[in-house]
Amino acid sequence: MSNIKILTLNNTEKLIRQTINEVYLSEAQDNKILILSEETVLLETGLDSLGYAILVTRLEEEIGYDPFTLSSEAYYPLTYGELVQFYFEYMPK
Amino acid sequence: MLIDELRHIDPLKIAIINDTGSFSYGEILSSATIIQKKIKGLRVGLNVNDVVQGVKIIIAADNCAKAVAFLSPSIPLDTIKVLIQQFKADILLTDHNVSFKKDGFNAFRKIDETVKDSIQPIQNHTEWVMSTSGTTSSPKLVVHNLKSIQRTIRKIPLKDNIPIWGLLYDYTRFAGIQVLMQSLISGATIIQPSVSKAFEEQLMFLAEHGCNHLSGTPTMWRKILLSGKANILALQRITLGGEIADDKILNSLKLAYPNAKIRHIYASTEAGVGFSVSDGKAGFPSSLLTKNNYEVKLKVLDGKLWVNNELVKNQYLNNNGVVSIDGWIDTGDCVTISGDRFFFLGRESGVINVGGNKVHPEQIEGIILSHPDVQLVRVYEVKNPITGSLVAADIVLEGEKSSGFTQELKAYLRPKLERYQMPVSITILENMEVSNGGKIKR
Repeated sequence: MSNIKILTLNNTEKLIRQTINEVYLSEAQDNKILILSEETVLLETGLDSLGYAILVTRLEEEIGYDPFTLSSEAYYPLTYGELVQFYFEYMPK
Repeated sequence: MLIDELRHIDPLKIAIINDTGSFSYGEILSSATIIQKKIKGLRVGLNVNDVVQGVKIIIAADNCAKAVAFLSPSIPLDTIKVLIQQFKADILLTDHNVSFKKDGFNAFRKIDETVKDSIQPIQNHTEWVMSTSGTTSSPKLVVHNLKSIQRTIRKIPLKDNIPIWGLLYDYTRFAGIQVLMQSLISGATIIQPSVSKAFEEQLMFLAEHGCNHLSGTPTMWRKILLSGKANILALQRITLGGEIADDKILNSLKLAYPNAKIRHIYASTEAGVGFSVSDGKAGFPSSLLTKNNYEVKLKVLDGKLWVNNELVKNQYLNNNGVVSIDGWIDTGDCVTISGDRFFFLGRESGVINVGGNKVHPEQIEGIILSHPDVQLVRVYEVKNPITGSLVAADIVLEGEKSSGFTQELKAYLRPKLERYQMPVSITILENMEVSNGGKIKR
């Protein structure tokens, strides 16, 4: 299982980036190359809300937790930077 | 009267074979005659594992007892207590080794000379009370009679090939009762392998005793084909029921048993038997809805199948809700029409809502099963913060596959499924848990 991976900020970001790229390849409606920067708005990359949903589930499988269910408030990160920050915040200590 | 019908059968003919021995019709009928004195006019709860005991009671009860309730030995004791209270049993036959005295019931392990004779008059219209499986809620009691139970059972002329039925079902459930009644009424033999044995050993027991007629769920049949033991059975008649029979399982069975007649049956505890399909294809011809001479009336309303069975009481026992309105039973099974044929989509109650799109897990299962390497599948819901739910799948494969198989399967599925129907994760399992009734657990 994914929770035997030692999570650090660095490899978590790598995993998030890698997973987004994978989900993007199978789900995005256009075939542009995905270039992620902190400001990239996720739903403007060609991912729709279903793609976003798939990303969250795939990330949970990859890194072992889901900040959306861990957080008490309804928060949906818009940009790639916000998403990474959100996952960092809820990383198991 | 069941007992009189069975008196025409050669008393030396074997009725039941299980791991405790062989039991002839004569032997069973003479016990049933004694039991009749003990249960006449009474409400009898049947909660024993032993099919031989069970059959004696069933034969004795019809047109003699006031009612007989089929309470599966797999039902937990607490639920049994609730059900016998609802049923108002006068006498309970049970394997449970506890006292029912304070609940006000006479409980016995078997009905023998220690049970007093009943002083009640014989009842001619015996109620056959079946329990729903209770997978989604607590079990409810449905009131049938012998006629509604066996309305589509025909005496199969015995001729040269004598049916030897295998019983893989719990005999107290609707599917099991169907196999029992079909066998008994035709004067055939029934073989019951012990459920405590491994599935392969159960198949060997059936083969050893010459089983040639076998009824099972599509999941059971997939397990038979997976077991590598399929070829030890020389089957003449194959029945599938209880789950959706897809083209792949029907075709695989045709290949494995080229000489067998294959049919799939639509039935439920509430509706009884709706129909059977023997053209070897999935679904059912739409002509079944309009056939006037067909004994069971069917209709499709709001995409769901309705079955008419006026022989079944319109209320669950103890006012536990409505079974039917004017004889029409909402089966809760969703269907879709394509050309002149209806196909099952799945249970209405099992629909997964993916961001507003409805997904029938059974429909996705059928498509995943169409991949030649997939033998068993379960599609289920995973919660998701964005869309509410997503779809996931567990699969069992035929033989060893490389780790890249899930990617290969996803690529196979992508052109066949809408994006919202696509499993977000696919897990390969060694084996899959199957319910008591032989269905994939949901």
